[in-house]
Amino acid sequence: MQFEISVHDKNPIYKQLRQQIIIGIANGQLKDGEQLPSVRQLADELGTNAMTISKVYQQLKEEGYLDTDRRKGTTVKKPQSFQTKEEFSYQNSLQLLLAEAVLHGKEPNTILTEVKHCLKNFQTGADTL
Amino acid sequence: MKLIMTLILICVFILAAFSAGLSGKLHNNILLENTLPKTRQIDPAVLAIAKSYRKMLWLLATIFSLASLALFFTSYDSLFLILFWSFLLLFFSANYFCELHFIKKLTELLTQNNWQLETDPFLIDTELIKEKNRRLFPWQGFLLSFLILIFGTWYVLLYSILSGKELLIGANWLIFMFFIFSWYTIARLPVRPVTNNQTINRKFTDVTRHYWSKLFVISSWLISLLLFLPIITSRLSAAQAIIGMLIFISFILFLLFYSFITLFHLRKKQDQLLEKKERPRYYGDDPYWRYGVYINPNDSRLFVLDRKGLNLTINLGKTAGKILLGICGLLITAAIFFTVIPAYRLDFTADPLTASIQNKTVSFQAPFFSKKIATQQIRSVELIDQVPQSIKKETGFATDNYFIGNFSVKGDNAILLLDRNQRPIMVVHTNNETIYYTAKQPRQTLSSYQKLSSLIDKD
Repeated sequence: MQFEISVHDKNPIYKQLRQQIIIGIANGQLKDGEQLPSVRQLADELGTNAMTISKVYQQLKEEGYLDTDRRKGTTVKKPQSFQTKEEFSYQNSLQLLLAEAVLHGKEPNTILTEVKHCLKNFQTGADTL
Repeated sequence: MKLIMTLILICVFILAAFSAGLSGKLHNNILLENTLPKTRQIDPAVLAIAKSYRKMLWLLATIFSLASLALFFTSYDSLFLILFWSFLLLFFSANYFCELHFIKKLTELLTQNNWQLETDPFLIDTELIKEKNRRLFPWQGFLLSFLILIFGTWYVLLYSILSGKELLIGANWLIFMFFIFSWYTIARLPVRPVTNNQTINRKFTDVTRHYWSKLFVISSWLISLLLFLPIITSRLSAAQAIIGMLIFISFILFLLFYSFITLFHLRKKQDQLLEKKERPRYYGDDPYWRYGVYINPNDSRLFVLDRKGLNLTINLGKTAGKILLGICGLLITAAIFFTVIPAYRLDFTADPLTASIQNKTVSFQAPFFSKKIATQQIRSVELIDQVPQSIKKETGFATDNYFIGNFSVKGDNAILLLDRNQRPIMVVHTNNETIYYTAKQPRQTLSSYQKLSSLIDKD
């Protein structure tokens, strides 16, 4: 899988990395059981502290996207359905995102089209998972 | 010695001009530490700056090579060495400032015309990162040099009478560790894809790591042999030692050529991969190379590959890098000090070579060298008129005018404290070695001989 991380982005590296991995799993670029680069390899690549990458991997593991194994390293995992707390957090994030879109002049139909387009890619990814 | 050192100096100037000139040739889309967009790489203004830079380097090499011919006309070793070091330091300083000047010139050209590339985000290719070392030369290659070092260490400890052999062995192991560390540095290098094309990026990564890792492993084999060869040949006869010396020189030349050709070949392969019209990715590194060296406090790496593709260089933005640079500076200063000062004292002080007798001990003194022997150990003393033949230096100072240090004469251990232009030479035969001595003045040599002779007669 290829993705980009910008050091000049308003989002810190660890947030960008988390987002890219989740999107990569959703659109099928990262397959179930696929091994990710090690913490050290990714830290060397981004020129950042290994703790930063370790933090991302740990967070994604807690959220159910990754699995770690001594032999296989860090691998992609098909996440479970949302738990109550996660569902609540998801609803809040969605509400905020949609509020921002509406406030910035996006029409509901436009938003729906864009959502459908994203979901189409993710659906392909979900099938491969 | 003058001829050899002058030739070495001229070779250094020529090699340096050639090597530094590679910064003035496009490589990995970089010219004079500036990353150029594809459309500007053959711009006449850009090419003119690069050409002027290369021309200036050769001009400097020519001027300094001609100036170094003056070394032939120095009659004093100290003046020779002062000039030698001065030429070397001045040349490299001039080269460096020349490079800085042209880097700045090209940067200004790019800025004025708004030709600079926008900084790209990091491109992360997870598959490539996982497999980045698939063509890395395996670490098991170091086992051969390890075995050579083990054997060499055993041999030297058991059979060599060389003074300071423990230091030599320690230095050999340190160099071996340095090669392993360098190999590890290559393995840890980030991929940093140079294009948006996965295939090119993969090939680029493979060749880069393969060539560099292979170079370090093979160099470690050769260096391991190289460092023990002189010690092993010191036990041979004079005729055999000449063959040993020729083998030694051949090894050095082979190592130099092999390194250069390997890295040059790698450069060519990398440029061939990037010949296609792929837009180069630019990670905003140019400002860190503005001074011709890598200065990036935000990069955690201490060693990085330079942009010419010929060297590992230090990140001077890190404290450890600055310390290493300081140590290098100290080593160079020490080398200058320990070569020039003894030569100066030998040339311009009244009594640089002395033999004094006190409390039944004879003390021979020379700049940075001394030897004491009990008079009881002296078997005989004589005067000779000729410098002995078949001399091999083991440690010390050997110039056109002086021999100071530990030598072997016709295969036997000897200590020489000789002004080669003075006669007679006092020869002191002891149980363990033979000492050849002259003072600066013949009458002082005669005086020492007479004192020593009468002391031995009394004993």
